[in-house]
Amino acid sequence: MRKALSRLTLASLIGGVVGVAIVLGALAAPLIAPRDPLKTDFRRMTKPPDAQAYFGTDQVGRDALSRVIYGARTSLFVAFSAVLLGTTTGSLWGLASGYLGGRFDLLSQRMMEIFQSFPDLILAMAISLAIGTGMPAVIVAIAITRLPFGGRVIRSVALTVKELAYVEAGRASGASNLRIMVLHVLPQCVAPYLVLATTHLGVAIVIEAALGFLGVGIPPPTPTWGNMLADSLTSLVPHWWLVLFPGLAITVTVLAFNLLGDGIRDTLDRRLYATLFRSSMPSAPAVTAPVAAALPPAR
Amino acid sequence: MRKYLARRLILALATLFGVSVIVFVVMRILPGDPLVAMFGMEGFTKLTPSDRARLIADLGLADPLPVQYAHWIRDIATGSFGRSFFRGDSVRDLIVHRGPLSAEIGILAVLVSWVVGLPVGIVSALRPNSVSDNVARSASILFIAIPGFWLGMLIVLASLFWFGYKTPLRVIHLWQDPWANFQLVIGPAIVLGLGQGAYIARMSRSCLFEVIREDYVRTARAKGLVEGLVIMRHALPNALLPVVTLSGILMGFVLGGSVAVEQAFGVPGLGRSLVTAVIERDIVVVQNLVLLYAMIFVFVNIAVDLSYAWLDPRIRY
Amino acid sequence: MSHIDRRTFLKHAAIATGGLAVASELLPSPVLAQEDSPLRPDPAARRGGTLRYAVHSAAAHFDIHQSGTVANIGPQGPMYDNLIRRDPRDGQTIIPDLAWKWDIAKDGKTYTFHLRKGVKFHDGADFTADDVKATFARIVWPPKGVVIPRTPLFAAVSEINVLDPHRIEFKLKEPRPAKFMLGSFASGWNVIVRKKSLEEHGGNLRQVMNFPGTGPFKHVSRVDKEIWIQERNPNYWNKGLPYLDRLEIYAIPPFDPANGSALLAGKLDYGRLLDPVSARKVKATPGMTSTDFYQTVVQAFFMNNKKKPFNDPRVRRAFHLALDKHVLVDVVKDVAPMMVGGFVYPFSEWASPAAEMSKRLGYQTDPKPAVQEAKKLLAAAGYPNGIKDLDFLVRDIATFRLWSVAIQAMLKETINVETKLRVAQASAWFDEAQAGNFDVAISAIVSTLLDPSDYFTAWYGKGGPQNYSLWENPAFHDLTSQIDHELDDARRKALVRKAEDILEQDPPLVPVSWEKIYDGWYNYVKGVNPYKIIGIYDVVRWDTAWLAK
Repeated sequence: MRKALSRLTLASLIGGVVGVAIVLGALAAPLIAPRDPLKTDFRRMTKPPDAQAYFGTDQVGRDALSRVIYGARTSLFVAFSAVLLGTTTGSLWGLASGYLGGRFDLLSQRMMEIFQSFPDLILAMAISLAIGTGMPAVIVAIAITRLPFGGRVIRSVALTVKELAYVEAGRASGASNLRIMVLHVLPQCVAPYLVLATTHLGVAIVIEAALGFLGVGIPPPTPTWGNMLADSLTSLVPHWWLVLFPGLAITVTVLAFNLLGDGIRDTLDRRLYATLFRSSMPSAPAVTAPVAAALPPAR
Repeated sequence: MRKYLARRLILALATLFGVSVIVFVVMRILPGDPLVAMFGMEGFTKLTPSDRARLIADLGLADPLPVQYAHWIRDIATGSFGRSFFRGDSVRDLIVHRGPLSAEIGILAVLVSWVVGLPVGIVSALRPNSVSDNVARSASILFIAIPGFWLGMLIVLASLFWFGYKTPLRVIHLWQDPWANFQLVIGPAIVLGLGQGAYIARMSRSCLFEVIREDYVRTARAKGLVEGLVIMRHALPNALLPVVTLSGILMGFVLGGSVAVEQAFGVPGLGRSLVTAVIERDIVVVQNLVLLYAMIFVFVNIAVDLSYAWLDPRIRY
Repeated sequence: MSHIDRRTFLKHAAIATGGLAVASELLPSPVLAQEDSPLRPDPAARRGGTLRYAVHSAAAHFDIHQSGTVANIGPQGPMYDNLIRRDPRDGQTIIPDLAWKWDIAKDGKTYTFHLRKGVKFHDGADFTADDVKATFARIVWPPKGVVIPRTPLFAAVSEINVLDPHRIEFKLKEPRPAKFMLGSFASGWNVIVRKKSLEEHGGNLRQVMNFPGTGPFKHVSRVDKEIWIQERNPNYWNKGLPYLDRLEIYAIPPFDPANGSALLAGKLDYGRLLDPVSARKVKATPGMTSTDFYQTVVQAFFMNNKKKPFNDPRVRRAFHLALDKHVLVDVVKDVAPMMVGGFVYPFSEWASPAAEMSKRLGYQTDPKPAVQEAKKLLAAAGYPNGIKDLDFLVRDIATFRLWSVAIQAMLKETINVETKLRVAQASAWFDEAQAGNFDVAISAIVSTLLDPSDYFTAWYGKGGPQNYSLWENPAFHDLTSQIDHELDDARRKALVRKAEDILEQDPPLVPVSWEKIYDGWYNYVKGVNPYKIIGIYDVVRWDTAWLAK
């Protein structure tokens, strides 16, 4: 068991390192990308990988490697923003809902259940249809799909913390609800919140890529991994380097963040987390710890 | 049990009501005019404001929102899912025509996920930290990270090179030509199934791993039962309960993911219709299809809850 | 259909020795007995079978007249006839269709058509002159909310009169070249529909899938975005045609590789609008043939004249010269077949010869001299350091997406102009274009005829329906008017050249490229002859096609 734990930690460490490397790479894109991702070169259109372009070029001669690197920028920015926005908003909502209880809680619970009744990609598509395409719109659309997860988990934490002795004491001594929520309940939510955020990062990246692939994401010519995959489909036989590398980038990034998330979750109190997850399932009755531990946040 | 069922259904109805309201509100705040769809851009600009007002009233779009909502719900209850703005095609016909294909893919995907995921999970649980266990767990983690539609694209690319894959031209139902139908659905089903299967493998591994360390399993072994029987008869059924729940939850992600995977394989399913409708801004089609998907998800959840309650004798409401 | 029987030969001889002479244009109506059509059935043709072909994805609506895309005329065309039509055997000659004879008055202001008797619509109703009047009245004077791209072609029509159930006359307020008017009547777009259909639907057929026609094929069934199935019309007025029993028309977007792959896999018999890679493969495959022919479309880069700096013609000419058109054609060479051309259809009789064009600034293979000139013009107009922040509206199709990126790069590198790309779906693109919400934009526009009287009005005319740039030039419009009225061919050509010079110096748009279409088919498909077609909108009926298998 100890060996398994240490192996898992090693994997998550690798995941963390790779993840951080990707983020740094994205931030340093202008420095490490060999060419301008938007620069066309009509003498070198659709060239397979060679010494001049490690990932080949696309139909207008743009360097695929540079586009993948800059694509990381867009995709990561969207994913981070969406997860931050969605999980934070959801968590705050869940905190208030769990702590305050009453009708507000009932209403909030129903609303979260309603939101969770939509398959996430479909909800994101419908929302982006309503509010338009473009980066802010896509971020908001994905953020909304993450709301209910944060909401339910943090709500459970709030419910538990609410009953603790020192919180009761705080209430008795006349502290306002807001004060108690911020000073006492909030700190307990930080750890679960971190776990949520990291585990949902991978999902957000895939949803953003899927939206781009379907043609309802961030419009061209901004390079995103999803757009690049969509563009590769214009030929009778798609050029393999235009299909392979963007997808590989997505896979590696998601893998890294998933491993990192796993590790973070495992370093926290497993049992506490299991309790939290029991009530985060849509409506399932008693669930055992292993379920919670292996529960996927989304796909 | 019956009380639980009743309560569950009422809850589901309330959820569906909320879902329909949200879908309706989101679609109505959309900019864009149904008259543009009917008359085209240039024709629309030639209409006078009074013409437009009259046509909007004819379409029933001038009624107050709650009335429009009521009409929509009434239409759905009577089985009419509206008509597309463009070409006036019936959405119900669309669902009847393409729905079975997407449903087949979904069902096959669940099948694949269990057929692949369960054995892998069992082997992993029975031989922890062995080579096969490590391979299995690595593969699971990998397949969870791979985007389904990308995997689909790779498969199509490979098939183009080696088998001369042809993009499907038409919907072919199971009862029309089983072999052709199978060729249509198998690609997306495998891709979606593998993704789900990875989760199932992980989950069944954890569950079984814990269960075989329970006392009663040790008792069974002590009684002298063959190991295989111990696993199959005593350990597995209990370990599977959470996996069933998981499968139900995964269904939601299959419904969403199937949209992108259908696109990658070029399969003319309901998901692709939804994408086209979103791109064309055909509000009627989007509204009704989104509602349909949500309804399916809600019913799947109910089914999962019920099956769980039925399977686990400890749970009685 | 290469038989010439004795009767037809004699008829042609009769015409040659001076049958009916009309106006100054040599397009007399062949003198035939009422029942005959020059399209006689070929005795060697085999009857029966199903032709499977794909043409464009599903259209936004069903009203052929209101449409400008082959997504309508392609699948719907086989169900309708025209008043007169282009001969499918060469795609050029105008021959009788529902009108078996026509007369043009000496003053060129009255066109009388004699209609066939005994023709029935698919729903059993009789075809009469009332239907022709209703059809054309809608085209010439569209009701509110209905926009028909062919309306400008008939701007000179002042009256349409039904003389008797089988004779109808069109009166013009002033004469027009007969070639032009007959070409307009013969356009594949102007299918004849029932008066009753128009009345029943308030003159708007957009949502009517199956309004009856008189054509060789009848509607059977349709699955949205998949297939339209049509069957032979056993009561077709041209006895002996069509040969095919069934048409299966699939919906695949233009230049989509799925079309080529389905054709090569044997799932289709005929492929239209193939991508170049598939077309090459088809050519190389024994038992299959492919060819290309010209299309009546221009891929255009628009510049909004109502916004600075495009009110200055020097700026627009600078843009015109800065774009390397040969490279632009190359950029999409694997996606769609294109060719370089100027403001006049490069394959029409009014075009400047290729040798002359290749020496002209803006069309040379070496772009440097043109770029130099462009820089000078821009500086003279007051922008020596280039222009920033132009809103570039792009229609969401693969070719335009590729071109927009290439053009963006070209403008930046040559004349330091910076644009921001904004991609929009077709209907949204037209929305924005009509409202003038752009600085520069790219899309394709269509004309019905190669005749300059058509597109000089539609594309370049003041207030022309496709003049998205909102361009005006009084000298040019004046010339256009003269071209419309000039009945002598040689003089007309000279006027067109003069007009072209104006366009070069004061461009209403930049002609990115002109289009060719690739068709591919199996050799057992007979009776089709796409080699000489111009534009795919006139040859969509399949009445002469048969399968040799």
